[in-house]
Amino acid sequence: MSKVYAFVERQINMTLRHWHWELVWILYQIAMALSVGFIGAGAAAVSGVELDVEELTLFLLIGSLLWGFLNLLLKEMSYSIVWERWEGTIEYTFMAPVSRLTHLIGTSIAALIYGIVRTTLVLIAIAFFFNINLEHANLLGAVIILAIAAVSFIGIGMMVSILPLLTPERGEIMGTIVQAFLLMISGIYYPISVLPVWLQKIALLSPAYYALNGMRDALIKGSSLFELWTFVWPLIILGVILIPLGWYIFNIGEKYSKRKGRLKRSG
Amino acid sequence: MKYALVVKNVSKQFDDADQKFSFKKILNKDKFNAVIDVSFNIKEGEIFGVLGPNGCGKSTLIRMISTLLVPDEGSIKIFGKEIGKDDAVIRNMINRVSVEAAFFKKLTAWENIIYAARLYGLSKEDTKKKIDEILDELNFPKNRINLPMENLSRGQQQKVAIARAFLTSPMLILLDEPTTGLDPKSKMDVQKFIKKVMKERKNVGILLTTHDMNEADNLCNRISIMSDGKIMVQGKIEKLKKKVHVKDVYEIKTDKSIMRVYNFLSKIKTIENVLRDGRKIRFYTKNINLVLADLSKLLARNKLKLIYLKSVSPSLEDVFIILTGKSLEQDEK
Repeated sequence: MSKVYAFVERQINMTLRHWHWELVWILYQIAMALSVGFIGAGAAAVSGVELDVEELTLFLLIGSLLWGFLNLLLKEMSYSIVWERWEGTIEYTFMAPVSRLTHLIGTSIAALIYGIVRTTLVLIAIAFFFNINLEHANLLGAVIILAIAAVSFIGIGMMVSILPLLTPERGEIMGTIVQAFLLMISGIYYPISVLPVWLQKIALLSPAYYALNGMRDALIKGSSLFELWTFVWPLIILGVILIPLGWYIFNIGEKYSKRKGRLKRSG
Repeated sequence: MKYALVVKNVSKQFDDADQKFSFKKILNKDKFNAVIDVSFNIKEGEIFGVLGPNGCGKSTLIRMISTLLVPDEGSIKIFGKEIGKDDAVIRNMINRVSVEAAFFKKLTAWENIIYAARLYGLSKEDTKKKIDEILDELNFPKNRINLPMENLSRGQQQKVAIARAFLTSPMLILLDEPTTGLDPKSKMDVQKFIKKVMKERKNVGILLTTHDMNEADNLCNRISIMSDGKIMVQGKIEKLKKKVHVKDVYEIKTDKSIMRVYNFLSKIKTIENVLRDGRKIRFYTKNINLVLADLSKLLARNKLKLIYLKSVSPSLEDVFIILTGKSLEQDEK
């Protein structure tokens, strides 16, 4: 546990030390979420069709919040490697008597804590701008869905974090491509029914798809935990598959980096 | 007597770093040999030096021993445990100081240390106690431990790096040019600390890479000299010096125009190497008589006054030059 804590403490210290950067990112995320929310609010005016603006806005805001959370989780996990390469500490971390699973779990927990804090701040900011009625919402259900989905997201995060090791100069950008693909197929801002059929089939493999639909059902329709089970079980299965898969892929990437000498920054 | 480290026929190649694109390169990548068939061992209680210029393969070798790089050929054993098979056990036995102090620069020295200590399973209390002792030995000002690493001087950063490595009580300590770029005082503090550790802990081994010949002379029991990825020679320093003593090492000093003398000596075929060190010139020849005749003509012609010409005992630098055929400076160029 003390080894897991080492990574959590390190990441939290790093975030606090770069608080001014983080503040900028939070403002950026709030602005993005608000822009998406205003698209919902303005849709009726643009189309001239009568719409349930509140439901559309909530639909988009849930997408924006979850996307922000997922984006942050993947970015934080990937950046923890990028940062270590940049500082040159990656070699010290990799030669320490720590299993890679402990290392990845440690950085994931830190990313998860920060993701929850930042998403909550964005949520509070949104509440000032939009009059959202959550009277019938199942908030607990939404939180449970998010918690289960986070496991799968961590699995994807593990896979994405190997990219900066494989291609030190372009790894981060490759991680962004993975995020963009998830954004496209998971129905963040639209139902996946608008996608071509073959993409709809791929969307079923994305944990974000189940997380979004589950959270939307819980918050918009107020679905009970029993009704949310439709989304919970695929998330559990994906989590069980993606964590070991992420770990396995990271291990393969690490071995490749060690053969090719990609861990070092210089010298 | 146990072996702390046994390196046997280790080789490592890398893809050529030339980034220019060509289809031929994709199909058939050029390789360059970073380490070629290197073998040596370190006994418990011994400091073994690997000397050589930048780019000769020292750091690659250290990375392979640190489990950070997989050798293409050969085997590495640390206290009988083999790299590639027993990495988890080995990682508990080793630690390393690299030439560049690698830290999270925005974090304080203490935050960096406690992070490393936790990875090795040390408690906060034990870490505090041990780090205070080590930093004291290294003459690190205690009031700077809570400053961000980026606010510390190069020497202070390197002292923290050394403290971080010794904190975990490793059995094999890998010191990759630990004093490069340090001021003379910090250099002495570090060397004194290394000597003290070796005196107190008889069961550890240290691998020290350096291109500072005096440091190797001062700290190491045995050395090997590397050049272009290969070990040219290894053994006890005194034996190596004796080995080259068959060839004569001379030092000459004139009142002026030292460059003219240098250029002149460089052209004489019976002289193997000429090295300029400020106002002095050092050279190696098996036949001083042949040199003397021409040298006196040169001095007379240029009205140069000979301050001295003497035969000197070979230093480690001379050993390196005679064995590799070039000085460290020349090799780096």
